[in-house]
Amino acid sequence: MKRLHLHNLRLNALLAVMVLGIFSCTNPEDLLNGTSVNVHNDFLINPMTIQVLNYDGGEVPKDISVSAYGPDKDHIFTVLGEKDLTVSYSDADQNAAFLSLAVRRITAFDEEDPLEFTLKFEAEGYMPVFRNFSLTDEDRTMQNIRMFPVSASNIDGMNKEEVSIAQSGNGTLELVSARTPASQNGQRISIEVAPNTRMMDQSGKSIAGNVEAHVISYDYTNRFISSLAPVSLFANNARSQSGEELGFLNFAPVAVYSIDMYGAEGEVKQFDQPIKVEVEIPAGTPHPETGALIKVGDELEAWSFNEGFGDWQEEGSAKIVSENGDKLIAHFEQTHLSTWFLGGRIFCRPSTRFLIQNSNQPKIGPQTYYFVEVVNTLNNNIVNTFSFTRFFDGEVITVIVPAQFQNAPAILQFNIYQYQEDATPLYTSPLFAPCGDQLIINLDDVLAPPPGLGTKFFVNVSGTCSAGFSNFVVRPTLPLQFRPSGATAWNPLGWLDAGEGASMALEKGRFYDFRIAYRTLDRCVFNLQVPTQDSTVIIESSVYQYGPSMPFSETIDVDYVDTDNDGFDETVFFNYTNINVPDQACQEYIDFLNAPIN
Amino acid sequence: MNRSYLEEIFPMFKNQSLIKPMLLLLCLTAMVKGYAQTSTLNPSKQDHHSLGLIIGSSALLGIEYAQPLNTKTWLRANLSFMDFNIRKWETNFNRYEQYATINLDIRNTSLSLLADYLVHPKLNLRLVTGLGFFLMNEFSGSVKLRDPLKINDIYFQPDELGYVYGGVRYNLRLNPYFGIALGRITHPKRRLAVSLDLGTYYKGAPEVFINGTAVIRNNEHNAEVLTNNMSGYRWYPVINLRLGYSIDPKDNP
Repeated sequence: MKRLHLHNLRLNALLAVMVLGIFSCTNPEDLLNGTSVNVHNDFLINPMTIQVLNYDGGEVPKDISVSAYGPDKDHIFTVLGEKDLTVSYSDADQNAAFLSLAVRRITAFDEEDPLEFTLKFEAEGYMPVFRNFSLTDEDRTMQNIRMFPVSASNIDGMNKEEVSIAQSGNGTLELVSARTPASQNGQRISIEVAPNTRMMDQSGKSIAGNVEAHVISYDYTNRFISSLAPVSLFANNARSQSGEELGFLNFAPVAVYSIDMYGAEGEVKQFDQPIKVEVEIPAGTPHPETGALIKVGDELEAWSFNEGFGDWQEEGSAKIVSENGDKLIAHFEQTHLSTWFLGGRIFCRPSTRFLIQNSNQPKIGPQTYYFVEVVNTLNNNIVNTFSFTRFFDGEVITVIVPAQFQNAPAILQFNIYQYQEDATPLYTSPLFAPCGDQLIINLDDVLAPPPGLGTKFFVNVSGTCSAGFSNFVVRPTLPLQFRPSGATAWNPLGWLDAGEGASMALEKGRFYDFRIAYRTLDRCVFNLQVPTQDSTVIIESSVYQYGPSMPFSETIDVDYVDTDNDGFDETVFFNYTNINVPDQACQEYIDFLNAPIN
Repeated sequence: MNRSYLEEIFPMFKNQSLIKPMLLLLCLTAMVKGYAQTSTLNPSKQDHHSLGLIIGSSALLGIEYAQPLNTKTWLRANLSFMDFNIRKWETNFNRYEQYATINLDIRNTSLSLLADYLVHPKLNLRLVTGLGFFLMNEFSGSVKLRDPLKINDIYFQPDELGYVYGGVRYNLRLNPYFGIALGRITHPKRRLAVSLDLGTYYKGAPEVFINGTAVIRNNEHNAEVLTNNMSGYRWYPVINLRLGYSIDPKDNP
């Protein structure tokens, strides 16, 4: 090879360095001037929010702990990704606590493969509450549960008897019996503890000293009992007596009861000899397997809720005998305590499903939630309730109800109410069977708001943090709760998705409370009136401020618009997009996004 | 290296139609040469055709045909191939705790016609001007975390948290070129010659596109701001090394 022009190459290299220098004079910060980064807080999806209330609307216990059970328990987190399911409390409203559940976006679940888990809510001095869940889609739902103090008196739907049991070194001193008052349909529960019965806790350790026993009969026909009862009446993965997994089961309970005993040394869970249980069966009760009326000599399955794995387990069967020639009594003996029912299992796959047609509520758009109860039309017993259902257009609702008996015909119907306390339903469905039915339900007319009402609220919320926080733009994804001012329980108003949300649940002129309860974020605003005309609302924050004596306030323009030209201004746009978010709030938001990143 | 791998790394191999514009450019060069010969007084000693290979900032690899028009002027046509992908480049830029996985797509292949004028024979310094036709004129990429990120009790996979993607696009396809060149296109006594091009293409105002997924979604609004901020960045620097080979056998033994 011939000699190259090395001298020229050296000169060229020098020039190249100069040119590179010219073009590399770029200050990245100048390039980024004016940019802002949207960071969302929805690492996970939030398919369910649970509102925890006290049974009487009073203060909820502050020490509620939640444990997860069931086949999919490992998929359940808080919205911050914590396995420890922590409940959110508010100092401003101590009558309701919230648990926002989350699952990872990559966790797939649907009707064929639902997300099945059980949650146990515990607090000192309160009866534990177990709830089974079977989530089939990501559509957000909300459920209420109510905590019931061990020491509380009888309430509607729960018939309770308390008795003290004295013990010596050999166990109970004498025969002890207790019988609950009769429920509305005449059902009652009796127990009998034989003398010298030794009482033990879950681990088998003897519990000495006097014991307080609580026998409670649950009337599942009461519309409030589904939020108050200690267990759900279906199993995600029931077990046979030998422990074999039986999968999903619906139940047909004839009687549901729980027996709880507490001593100074702990909670009694088992005995060294069985205690006798008698359940008075109301006349005219159909047998869960045959549908024929229960008679002497029949047997009913006995099931207990196994608190070890959080689901139902078969325990044997109870025999029906006659007492005094006219009463039917189911006899059973049990050696451990829990919540029990006598009845039957119902193989209910596929479950009954409804396809909802409702032009008033598209899946994405202004939201309204309704209360639903399912009624057995043969005896007007309520067989299940659903706290918050949207009935959006195209929604497929799967109903899991305790059937009265196997292969029951179309004897059920559901009623839709605006609020749980309402007396008159907005809608009553056609009759349907508890299992395998499929109905198309058209709600176009029945859920259409009257002209001038049904105001649609569109909200757009975003705020910009100061330069000290990199001009972060905060576009929250959060559930919003509301309630008419003066009420106790909160209702879902809707979800803000990246700062945008819509609702149809508010009425012009009414006063409401609003609350955000999302793990570490918990804020309340009380007694706000929905303006009846175009106006400006100023909300001053009691939490945030721009600086000393400079409270943070939001000025919200409320603009009514008659979008469909029917003469009523029924659409309202709330735009909160020019908020200069106080540093304290930005820090909280960043802490929320980061915290606690390990 | 099989063809599919080449196509993955160099998407231009998928585009066979490049051959046609290349031939067109060579024909144009030949036509100009034909015209120039009629006006050159004594072209025989300078008529050194040259083929060259180019590497540099505008050419991962390029080929060039050069034709002198007279003793001081040359005409060059080149295809500068600058389409390539970088996949799964893992870096923490020596400053972050987390490593990122970066994908880059460069689409900067061009066909250029350049004219050289010798202004300083002793230094072999030429002024160069011309026009480049850029087929796509786009630089894009995406960045996401390399490793799962633990947030509380969950190890989030990078795809769950999302990634940022975006790029810069120049809508002006015909880009004027200005520059200087050092060294020889052809050498009177040798077949091989080396030269260096230093210059710039004027690409017009860039258009930025950007967005993200998952928790960093809805950031497309920054595209307009960045487009505005980058409106002054219209010049693309060129530093290309050219290795020429004279194809005139009678003058280049």
